[in-house]
Amino acid sequence: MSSFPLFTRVSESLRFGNLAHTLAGSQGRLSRLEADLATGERVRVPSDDPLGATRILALQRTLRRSDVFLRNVDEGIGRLSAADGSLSTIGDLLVRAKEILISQSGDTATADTRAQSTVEIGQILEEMLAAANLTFAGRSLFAGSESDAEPFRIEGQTVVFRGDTQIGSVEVAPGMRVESSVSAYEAFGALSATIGSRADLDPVLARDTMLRDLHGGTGVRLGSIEIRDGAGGLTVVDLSGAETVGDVLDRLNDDGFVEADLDAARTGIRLSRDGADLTVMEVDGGYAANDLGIAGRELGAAFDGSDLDPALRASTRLSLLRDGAGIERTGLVVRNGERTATIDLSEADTVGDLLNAIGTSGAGVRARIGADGRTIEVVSELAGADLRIEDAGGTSASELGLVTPVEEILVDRLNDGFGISTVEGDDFVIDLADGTTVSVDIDGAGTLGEVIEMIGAAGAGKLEAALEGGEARIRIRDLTAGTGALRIRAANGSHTADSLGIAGEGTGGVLSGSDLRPSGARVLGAFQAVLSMRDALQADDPDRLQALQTYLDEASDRLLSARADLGGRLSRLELSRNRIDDEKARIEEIVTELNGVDLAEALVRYQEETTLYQAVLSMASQSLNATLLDYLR
Amino acid sequence: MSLLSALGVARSALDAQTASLQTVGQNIANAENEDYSRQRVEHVAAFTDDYVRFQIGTGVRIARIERVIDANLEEAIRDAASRLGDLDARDLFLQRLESIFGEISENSLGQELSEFFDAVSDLAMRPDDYGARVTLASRGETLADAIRFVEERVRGVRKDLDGEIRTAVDEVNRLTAEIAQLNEEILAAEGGGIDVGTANDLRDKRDGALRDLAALMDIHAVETSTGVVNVVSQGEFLVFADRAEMLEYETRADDGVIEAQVRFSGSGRALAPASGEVAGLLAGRDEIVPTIEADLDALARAIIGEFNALHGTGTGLEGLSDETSTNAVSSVGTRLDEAGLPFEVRHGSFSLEVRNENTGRVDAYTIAIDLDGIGTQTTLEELSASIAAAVALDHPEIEASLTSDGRLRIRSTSSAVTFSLADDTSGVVAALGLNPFFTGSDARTMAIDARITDDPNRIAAGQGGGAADGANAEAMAALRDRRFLDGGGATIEEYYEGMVGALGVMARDASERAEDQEAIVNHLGAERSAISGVNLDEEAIQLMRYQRAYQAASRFLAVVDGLLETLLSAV
Repeated sequence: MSSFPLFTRVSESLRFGNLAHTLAGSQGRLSRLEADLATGERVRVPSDDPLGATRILALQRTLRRSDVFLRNVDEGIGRLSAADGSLSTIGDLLVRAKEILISQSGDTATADTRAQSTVEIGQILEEMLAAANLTFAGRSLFAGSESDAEPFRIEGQTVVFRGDTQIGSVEVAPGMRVESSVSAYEAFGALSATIGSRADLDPVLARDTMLRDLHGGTGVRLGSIEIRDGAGGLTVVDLSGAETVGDVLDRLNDDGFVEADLDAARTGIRLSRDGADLTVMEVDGGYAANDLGIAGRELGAAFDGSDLDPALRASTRLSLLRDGAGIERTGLVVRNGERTATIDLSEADTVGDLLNAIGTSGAGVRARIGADGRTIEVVSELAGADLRIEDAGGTSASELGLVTPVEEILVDRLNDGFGISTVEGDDFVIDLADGTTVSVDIDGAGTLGEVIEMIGAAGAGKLEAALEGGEARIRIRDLTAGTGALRIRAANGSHTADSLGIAGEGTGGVLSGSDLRPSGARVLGAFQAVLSMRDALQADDPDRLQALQTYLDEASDRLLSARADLGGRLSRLELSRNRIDDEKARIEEIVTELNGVDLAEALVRYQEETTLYQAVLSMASQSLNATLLDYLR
Repeated sequence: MSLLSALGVARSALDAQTASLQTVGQNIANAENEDYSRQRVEHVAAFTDDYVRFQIGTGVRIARIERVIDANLEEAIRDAASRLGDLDARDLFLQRLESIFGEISENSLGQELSEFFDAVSDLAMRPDDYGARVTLASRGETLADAIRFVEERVRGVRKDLDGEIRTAVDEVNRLTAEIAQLNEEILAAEGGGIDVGTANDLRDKRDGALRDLAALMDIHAVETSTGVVNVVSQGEFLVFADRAEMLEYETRADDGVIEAQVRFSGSGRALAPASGEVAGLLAGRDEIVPTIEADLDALARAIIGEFNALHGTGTGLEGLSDETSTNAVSSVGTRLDEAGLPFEVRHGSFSLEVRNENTGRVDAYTIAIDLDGIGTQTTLEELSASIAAAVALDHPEIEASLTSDGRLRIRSTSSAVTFSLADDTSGVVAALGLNPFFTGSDARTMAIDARITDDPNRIAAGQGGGAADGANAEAMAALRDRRFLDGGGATIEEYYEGMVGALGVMARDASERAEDQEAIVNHLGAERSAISGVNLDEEAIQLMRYQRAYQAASRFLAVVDGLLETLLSAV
């Protein structure tokens, strides 16, 4: 209508044309309004409002994703609630186990009652297994990613764990995940019995060492570097895209400006150029030279870069370990409770081969590279078993750092893992041949070696304390002359000497203690505690039963802390649900505002437009009828 | 000076009024003829007879019957028609394109993308749920189908545009031939330029043809002193006097569409009008639609490439036992980054992990892809050899070979031994299409790997863990939020939305401009109509006027006749 032209002379076609135009415009607007009213949406195709459409599309996408996130949250909440139910059942079972423990280690209990309790504790174990093997929506609650396996199974005197400790998570916002399960490690200490290398296995570099494994796995930042020879000569080497140390060496050597190779110790890169005073710099503020350990000014005609410290990988060759000294290949013996495996390493070339050999040995262990990328770890799948690793005639296990020397055995591990007891002040007194006495306080001793040292120090030259031939057995020799007997007795009412196996009298100035029975690595958790209780009941040993109370308490604490973590995850999911609900409501509001039709306004406009349309129609029918010709006679 | 000459005056008057009446009749008859310009009769006094002291009139004569037109207006109308033709064409095909991408709230590619990624997230959460796998497989298939379908329809628009271009060019040829023909007829009718401007109806026809031609392509029309119109476009004569220069086209295949390349037959120059319907159609076929096709291809490529790179290095519920790459190299002896693979291969490496399903033993072999330009460069032949060499000692049951059509095949001959790929820094897994989720390399060829639909357990949700290992699915789901398109500025969905948004802006712009231009054309038409159009009332008045004049002339004749009778009765 805006283009309705006004002319002084109006031709027939103009008259009809204008009317047709007006009617078409009116019809167009009417149909548009009808569609708006029918769909309630203002923007149906992007060209209706291109800018608004892009926003609406993005918002609708967010809305659809919110629904997915809500589903995820619900799934996570369901899974965690199921896990919580299972853990609380097991917690109750542990309480029952503790009641049995207290009653059966008391004075009123007899061998008969303990035999009966063995049956009951057996039932508790069964119920615990059933609860720990529960599934949610067909998926094991505690099996980690190995969901198709029943995670816990009794095998002989042990409970074997078949799953892994992967913790599932659900996405609750773009790129944000909340953990939606509790691992068997957290809840039951599964796979917690670990023997790891005692020291960094320190592999050296090889040409095929990946650059991303350098600096303990941090990798290097690549770019171009500039090398000057101090006499005006220079070269720029582009290292980007290099994958291995060999690639870097090839590129450095490529134009013949410098000679590059691994240094003699194979820990870094050696650069040399005859008669030059080399300077290596970054290009464009990169980090390549620095990260490759070769940055520096006026380094001379040849120099060794710094230690690049490659991380341990499955592909690392065993010959590169221990600063290039390698590992002796006789093999190792793994003892895991009732299972023992001798592992032959003569065919193993790489760390991966070694891990495979250990993992497939049938000893109920898994082997992996430690999280720091410097050690290997052997992990037991068994609860109720002690894990020990020994050399198989050679030094393989020792070189891998998997054998603990007797001196370094932790005192907590002594006596089957019950440790030693000490008291405030002196722990025991040693009577010597010359009639003098030595008071010994071993508070603060962490290892067996430290205990020996402390006894020796207290003796001040009057006695000698040592370990019996590499065994966990203390020998004390009286160095004084006299007729008195060498005797060790308790001080301050402590049981320390007892627990160190050296209480009593020596013969011939020598007191040989009893075997301190250091435990291996063992799982600390509900299954271990209950299995140990069953053993103690079967063995009719109330003292051991009594001592197991710590185990049971530790297992309960572990379970409680897992449930606390679980609660935290649950509440994070609940919070996410609220956040998503809020966000959804807000976005829906915006979409309505952007895309919604204002019904009142649209109806009014529809009314106006209809009236106008009718007016035009009636005008047309009236005026188009009449021409002067009608009046000509 | 005689009664007889007075009779002559009466006759001339009757003749003139008759002619005028006829013209009025012609005007009324053509009242609804759009091309018609109303005609006006110009009366002049006839030659006078000279006497000694005075002159006496001999009646009336028709000086000319002329069209009431404004020549400048005609040119403005033609220009406006050219622009409208261009914009209308754009408006039409943009609307068609827009409809292909679907309505905002209903099933559209955008929704398919969302649902596909939703299914990936779902699998990440429930990797051990067969239903989640089936859903993802079917979502992937639907997505690939949707992208292919959209591409096909966009290509269809290009095909349609090509057809319309051919039709329009045929129409241009018809019109130029008609104008040339009319030029010839007008020249003949106007006596070779003596009575320029008298062949009214022919000229109306020619003006109409010129307006139609202008709607198709921008032209410049020049009337010469002899009354012929020469038509020029792009500096080339389309019509010169009675000769028309034909446009011709040759066809060539472009990406599955046979396209007509239009050119001037004389000079061979390509037709590239600045405006007019042909310009709009050409812009659509050669610029706008190809841009959208390229955007779609980029989208499909991104999804295929990135998704396959992750999928190829993940693990399904069962390991791989016989895997042949889906993409072939042009030559097995060419370095991989130049071997015609659809995705980029860089210097790097990947890891081949061989698993013994019975013992659980896993051996990993790093396979280097050497493409740094120093020493030997990896070819498919060497890749196959280096895989075979790596596994030879521990796993002779793993075989790597080349197929006759340039693909890599890795096979385990033992049912207990499977393999998987991991840690690919070279891009070779996606480029070769090993253990892929999608196949193809652009919007037209994108499809889901048939083995995935046959066996959804193949979907690589994990990274070497158990059945509930969703680590790889999580990584694939994270693709959704990664901005790697548009030079790192857009996620897959944002890119798509940007594409649709840009199309929306274009469509909106074209339709608004077309509407504005239509208003201009209407206004000019109205202006022309105001000048040249027929008004029936006006014609009715003219009719009465000439009727009266005729009646008066008849009366005059009767009087003269009476006088003559008186005279004759006197002799």
